[in-house]
Amino acid sequence: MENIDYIDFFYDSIRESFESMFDEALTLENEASAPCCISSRGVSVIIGITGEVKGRVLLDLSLSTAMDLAVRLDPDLNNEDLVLFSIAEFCNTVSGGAITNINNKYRQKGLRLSPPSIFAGTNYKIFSPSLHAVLLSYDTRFGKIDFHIGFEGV
Amino acid sequence: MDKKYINSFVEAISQVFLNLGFEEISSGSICVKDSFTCGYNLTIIIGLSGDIKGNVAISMSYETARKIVSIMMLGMEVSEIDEISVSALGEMTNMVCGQAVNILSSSNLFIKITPPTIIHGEKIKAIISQIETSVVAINSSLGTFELNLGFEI
Repeated sequence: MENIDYIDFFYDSIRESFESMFDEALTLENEASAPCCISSRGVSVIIGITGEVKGRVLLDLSLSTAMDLAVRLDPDLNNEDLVLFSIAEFCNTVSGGAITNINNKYRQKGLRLSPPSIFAGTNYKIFSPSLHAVLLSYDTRFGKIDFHIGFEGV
Repeated sequence: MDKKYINSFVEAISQVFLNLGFEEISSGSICVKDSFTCGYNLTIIIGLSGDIKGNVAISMSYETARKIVSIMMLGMEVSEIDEISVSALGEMTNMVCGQAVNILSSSNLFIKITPPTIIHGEKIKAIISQIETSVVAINSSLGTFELNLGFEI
């Protein structure tokens, strides 16, 4: 199996998706190996990856950051579900962009995404037991956003 | 949602539990929700792609989770939900989804499953489909748990 750094495809996709959706710059504050258990900031979007390799994209941010981002898209937004859907769409755009670029470069990978699932609460933890994940932490003027991107056996 | 899909997952749970040595299970009524607030502390979620796109979430209490993990670990006492317990519950859900995918392949539906993710805490709001989520209560001697199916079909 080719030794591909799948995370490389996410840097550009995260930056381009964020800038095009929210018309703001973002800065990669930290990159590290992600722990298999994380304490959520309050809102999480999970998108699974299938194909020659399996994986998962997890976007985690606070509810206040989620609301500020969603209001940036629609200033009249005042429904929490619509806020969560907006953040799920951001994660979907990021994941779709990265996966498309991987498939374009390595056609045999045949990667596909599952639809986003969204979780929100004040005190919960998330485990991904079978993944080797990287944490990309971004600083934005709306608050911090974390992407945990992991693949099986990579 | 077509009952064929729901029944495939209920049958898969029954078969996997039987293979793991659990007592027989029974399913309750089906209800449909836009989103669900996890009435239980622990949820295991697996995504689907292919002919069916969606998410499958199994929710249960810590007590039921501990009992399930204990049986999977050949009767070992499980006092807390640690990393090993979470891996076991992820594997159980993997087996359920794999079996359901196998059942659905006989209807010429070809589906791939994602790795499991486990979420636990209190009063967690979950939206696993932006269309609707079908919820089935599953009763077993180890406790009641919920099968949540959110398919975009």
